[in-house]
Amino acid sequence: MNKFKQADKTDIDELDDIFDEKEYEAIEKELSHYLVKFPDEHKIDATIDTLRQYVPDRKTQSPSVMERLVTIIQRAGTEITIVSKSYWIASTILFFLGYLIANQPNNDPLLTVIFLAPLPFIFGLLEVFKGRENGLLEMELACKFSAHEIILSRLFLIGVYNVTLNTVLTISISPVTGRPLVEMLLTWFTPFTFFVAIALWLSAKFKGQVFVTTFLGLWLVLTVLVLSNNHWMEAFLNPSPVLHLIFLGIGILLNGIQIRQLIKKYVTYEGGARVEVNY
Amino acid sequence: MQSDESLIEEIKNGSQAAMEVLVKKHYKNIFAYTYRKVGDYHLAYDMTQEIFIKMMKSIASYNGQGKFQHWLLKIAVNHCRDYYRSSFYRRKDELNEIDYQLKDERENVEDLLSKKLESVRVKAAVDQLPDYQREAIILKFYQDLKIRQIAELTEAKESTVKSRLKQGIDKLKLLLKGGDEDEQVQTSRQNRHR
Repeated sequence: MNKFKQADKTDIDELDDIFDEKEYEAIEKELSHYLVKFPDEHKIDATIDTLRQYVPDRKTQSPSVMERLVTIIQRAGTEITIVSKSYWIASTILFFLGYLIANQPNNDPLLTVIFLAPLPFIFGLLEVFKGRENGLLEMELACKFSAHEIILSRLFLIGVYNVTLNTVLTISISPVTGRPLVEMLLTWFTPFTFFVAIALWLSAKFKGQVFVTTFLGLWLVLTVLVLSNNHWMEAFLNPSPVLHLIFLGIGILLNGIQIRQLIKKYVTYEGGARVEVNY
Repeated sequence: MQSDESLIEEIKNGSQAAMEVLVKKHYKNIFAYTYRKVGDYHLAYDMTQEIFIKMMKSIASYNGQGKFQHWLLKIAVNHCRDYYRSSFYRRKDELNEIDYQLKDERENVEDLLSKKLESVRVKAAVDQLPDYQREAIILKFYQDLKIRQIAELTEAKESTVKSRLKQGIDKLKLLLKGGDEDEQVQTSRQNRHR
């Protein structure tokens, strides 16, 4: 960088005991002829590339659980438009179908809710992983959210939607059953946690269609088994309160484990740390 | 433009982009110092890279006291001094007499690109100054530092810096005035090696 500007008075002052002003300016002028041929941009970039290895690893900020939850909820809001319309329509149709089946005189309404409860979530999982299925997760990563945040936000969205639908269905059939609402909610919620845990495990192992087929196969076998056996049906509909709580605890625990596995898997997705993007 | 301090903070937090901005901001200044100190384009390029590597390795210890530019320049000053103390330089210096003609031709090719004969003339004179005098002159006239700052940077007394400047400038004037005489000396020197 050429520093040659008009000689500063202080520059001369501090050397006035060894040079006079004219002499100083003459030297300065003479030296200003010494030019430097700088390396071109390409060579400077090569130096920068060499230096990249010395930049410390990006500090991973560890936000609190509350902050993470808020981020996921905020993100879920934007996911509503990304999840396809057909999912919302199919889930709503399932809800009305469930209402109609539950009101049939030959069926136990609560048993209908128990078995229909996980279905919107299963179809929703297809939406959760559709980026992965279509190879678009990299594109989805081109924002300030990480892969696991995207997955968790969608899980949260379809989970909330599924539970809301089931709750509305439970409320709508409660006059028919004559049972306390909380008891009814818990009756379908406990098997629901198991279904969701199995679905999450399967979705991590298999791709979309295979996973849905496998799950629906398991679901159908279980439904037929329970419906064909009065003893099992009774156990599902009227479990002892202690057993109910134990199973509910196990179900929630299994879900926790599966979500943890999911986070671990997608935190390392394509080096999966947050991606810096210039908008 | 972001300040050096905020860029350094970002680098400490792992930002590659901040490193790129900081290096580009100071590259030419450091290269110019190194080039004028060692007088060789390729060597200056390599040494500038090494200076920035040293900067990156010690950036964690930069505490923000004093101007970053001076902190970086100090790394450059020390690195150039290390080079002159190195066995590589001493070996090169021994071979210098034999290599004189080749080196001269290479320099001429590079400097002809700038087509500034004046520049070549001043460069040749600066290159002939003793290390410490050349260092003081570059820091004073090209880096625009005050005597006090040069003294801090080179870990010398202000009176020593002044003395180096005085001796360096006197010698430089002689070299520049006696360009023709020097050319004759150089020609006879080259002839000796033919």
